[in-house]
Amino acid sequence: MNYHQATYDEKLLKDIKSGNTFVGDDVEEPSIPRDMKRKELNLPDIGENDVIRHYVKLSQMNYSVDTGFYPLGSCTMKFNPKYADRIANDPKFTRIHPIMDQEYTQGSLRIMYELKEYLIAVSGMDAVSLQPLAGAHGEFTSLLVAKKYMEDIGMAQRTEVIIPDSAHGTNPASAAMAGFSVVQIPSTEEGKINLDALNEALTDKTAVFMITNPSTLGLFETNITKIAKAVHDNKSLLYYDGANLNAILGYSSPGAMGFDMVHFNLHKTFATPHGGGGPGAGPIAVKAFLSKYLPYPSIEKEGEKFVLKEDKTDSIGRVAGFQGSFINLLRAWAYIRYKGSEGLLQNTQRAVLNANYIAAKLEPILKYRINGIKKHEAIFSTANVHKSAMDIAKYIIDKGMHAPTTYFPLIVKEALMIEPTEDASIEDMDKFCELIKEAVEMSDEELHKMPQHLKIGKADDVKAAKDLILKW
Amino acid sequence: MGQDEDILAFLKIKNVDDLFEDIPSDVRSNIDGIGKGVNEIQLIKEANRIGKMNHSEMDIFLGLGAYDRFIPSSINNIIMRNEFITSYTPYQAEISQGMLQALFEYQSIISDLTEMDVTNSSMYDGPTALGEAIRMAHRINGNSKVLLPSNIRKSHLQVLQTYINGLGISIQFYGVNEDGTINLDALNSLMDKDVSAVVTYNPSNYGTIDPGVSKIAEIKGSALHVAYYDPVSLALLKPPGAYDADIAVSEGQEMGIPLYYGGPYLGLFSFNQKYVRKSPGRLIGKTTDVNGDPAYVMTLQTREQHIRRDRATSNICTNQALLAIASTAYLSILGKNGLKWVASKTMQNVKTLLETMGRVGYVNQYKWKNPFFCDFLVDVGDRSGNLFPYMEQHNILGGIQASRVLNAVERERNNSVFFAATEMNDKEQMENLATVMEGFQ
Repeated sequence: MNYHQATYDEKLLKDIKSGNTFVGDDVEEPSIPRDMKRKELNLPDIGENDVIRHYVKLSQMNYSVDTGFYPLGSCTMKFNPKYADRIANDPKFTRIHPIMDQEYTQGSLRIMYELKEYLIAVSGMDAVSLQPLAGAHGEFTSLLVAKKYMEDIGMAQRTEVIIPDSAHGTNPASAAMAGFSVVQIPSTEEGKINLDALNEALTDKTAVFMITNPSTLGLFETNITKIAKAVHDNKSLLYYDGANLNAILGYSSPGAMGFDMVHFNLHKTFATPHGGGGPGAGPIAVKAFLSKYLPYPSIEKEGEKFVLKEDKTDSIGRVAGFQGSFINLLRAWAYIRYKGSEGLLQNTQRAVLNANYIAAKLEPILKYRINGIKKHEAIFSTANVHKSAMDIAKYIIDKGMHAPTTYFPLIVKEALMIEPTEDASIEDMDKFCELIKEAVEMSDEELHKMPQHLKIGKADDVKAAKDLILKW
Repeated sequence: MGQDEDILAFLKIKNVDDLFEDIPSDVRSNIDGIGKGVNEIQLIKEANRIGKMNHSEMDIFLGLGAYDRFIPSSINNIIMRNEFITSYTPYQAEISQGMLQALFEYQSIISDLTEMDVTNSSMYDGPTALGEAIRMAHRINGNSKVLLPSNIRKSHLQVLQTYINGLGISIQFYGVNEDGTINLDALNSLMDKDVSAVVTYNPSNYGTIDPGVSKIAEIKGSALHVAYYDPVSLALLKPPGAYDADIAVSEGQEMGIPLYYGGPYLGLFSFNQKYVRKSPGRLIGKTTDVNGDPAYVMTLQTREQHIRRDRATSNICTNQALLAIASTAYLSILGKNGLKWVASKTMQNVKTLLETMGRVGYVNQYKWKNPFFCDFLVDVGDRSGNLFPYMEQHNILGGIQASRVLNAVERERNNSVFFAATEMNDKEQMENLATVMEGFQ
């Protein structure tokens, strides 16, 4: 049976002219300085009921985790539990002004403090800042911490960050944003850190080496101790991109592996919903010797009171207007509290089990194999079956599942990056593999017609960039 | 766990631990520190208990970047739609047209509100949007100085300083008039060819409407005008596009997003079309599909981190998509008349509150040439530092010392405190506030 996504010719909001239904009350004409008065205001003229209908229809033309299987590699699209939403919508938490004195916000501060303690426990680090607002924001913040540290110990000439060619794009972008220059090193044939290349790149200019473990190929860096030693012998810092933390939680930790800094993507490891692009939350953790550089304010406990401390002496400063993405911190708190250490460990086990299952099933189909035990994701190339990764992706979405991440990591030709997460059912995984098999067996000509059962056929990206229509 | 056993059998392994045997023993660690989990009943009870430690029912007379405004009930239904809240960034355009159209509408509605050419599909919050705007201005003209009003909010200055770390940009402050508006002579005397960006606030950081923003276009030269505005105020006030701002940024929280104890909020980021390739963040564009039908995609991705890596215009990956939808729904439900009502009611309540406070002896002693919009200052004598906790004890949030939140406050304003009013404050609350304040003396 074919999948059919809802398909409406839904007009733009401004073109639905059912008439505004908002009710206010009597108000006097405000006195505005004459040359500051607005001449004209264009907003949609639509009834509230039609706004609802509009968004319900749009939502039906949008695939989500709650719709079905969503194996988007690196993005960890696990189930977002509804108890967390319920708590996140409680007015006792939502109606708190950020400038309220701490005596009156002890509940929110307690949540922050407990989450901080949880994050210290799972990461094996010593100190946490909850302030960064997304994973990439956490990277930027951590790199500023590294910079400040280097300046402080008289090594301001360390202006380089080394990054493997398999890294997430945010790593080099964040490093550049923090004022570092980026040195890229090649991976080994197996997609692991090339120790020789690393040793060669490490110089008295190296401030930080940024990696994720497991790597973006889904493999654990078994040389991690050697890597950490090489980096530390060079007096550089080792940074853990926490995007793949969900693969090792309960078996290892950034702290145990010798990392100095780490960021967490709460929407990945701790199941906060991603909202079609955000909001996220990107707390960071560091070893004790870096803690004084973290952003202020920091959450602490003094006696029975929870307090936000504004110690500015060595801090890199502030990275957000207020205390952080509190409501997402609250959701992550709820998730960790519910799961407990056992539940989190089980997540890791099932995520890895499922990834290995998909890997084993797809190896004969795609005639491709990356040696080694997969961790949370399985990476494939579609080159050996002479298909384009994008063609296969478009076939999968046409059949009502989300596609894997395509063309990443960059070091794999025609890459498909598949992350089933711990929540995938075996039926979904079997169906997914079956879809890939069908796509491989189809002619390119047929594949190029995909998708056919969605709101639109293949979109013209070239035209979008050329004509550039960014507004109605 | 029947499924797990089937998979173990399929993989021909006995124990799931076998899949972790590649993790060396010397880097092993567990997460026992977290303790045992709880069930849903226990969790909800616990969260409820902790929530009660918050004072969530105060009368709110404080803004400063976070406003207690009316939120139409529909908005929570919309943003809690499973298909929106549990989806990822729309990488696969064809299966994500709903989110893409919604974000295209967000870009459009904010561009209409600001009368700016282009709006990106959101930044983290207002202050980080300001930081990104200064970085963008520097990318465009390469100049090395940014001019800020001397009374800028501390939190904005602090985020900005973090964001320009390492760019070699220096900050200079220009003076403001007694009512907080731009001192154009003072600003003009600082203008030279090295200025990268002039940052203005309307309303000013004292809360007054500032006609001075209209004059920046005449004096800015090669510098870019970065205008920080209040989105709701734009129902009544000349928008940044109408005074030729180059980049317009703000905090969108007040449009349909609860106070949330500071986040997640919504960074609004708009700019002149000619700078689009230097702009940060994600952009949604309208195009067609193979059949010639309208389609929406993420576009100009070659500026972005996943393609351009260390040459990207920003490191933004996650943004605030869901809250962008909340603000679009807010503006659509309120419409032109609704937004005008909210803005007018705000100004009327500020006026009423000032009169009410005046009756019990609290007035502003300085010359206020221009009206307040929402935040305002009032003088409360030399015990001003005690007022805020005193009001809180009486279940009212408001009256924080200006010197606690603003960067530089002239000496004579040491006794000034901030209050705010919105459409949510009624007469009864205001009378109560006055009675409580009377007791402060």
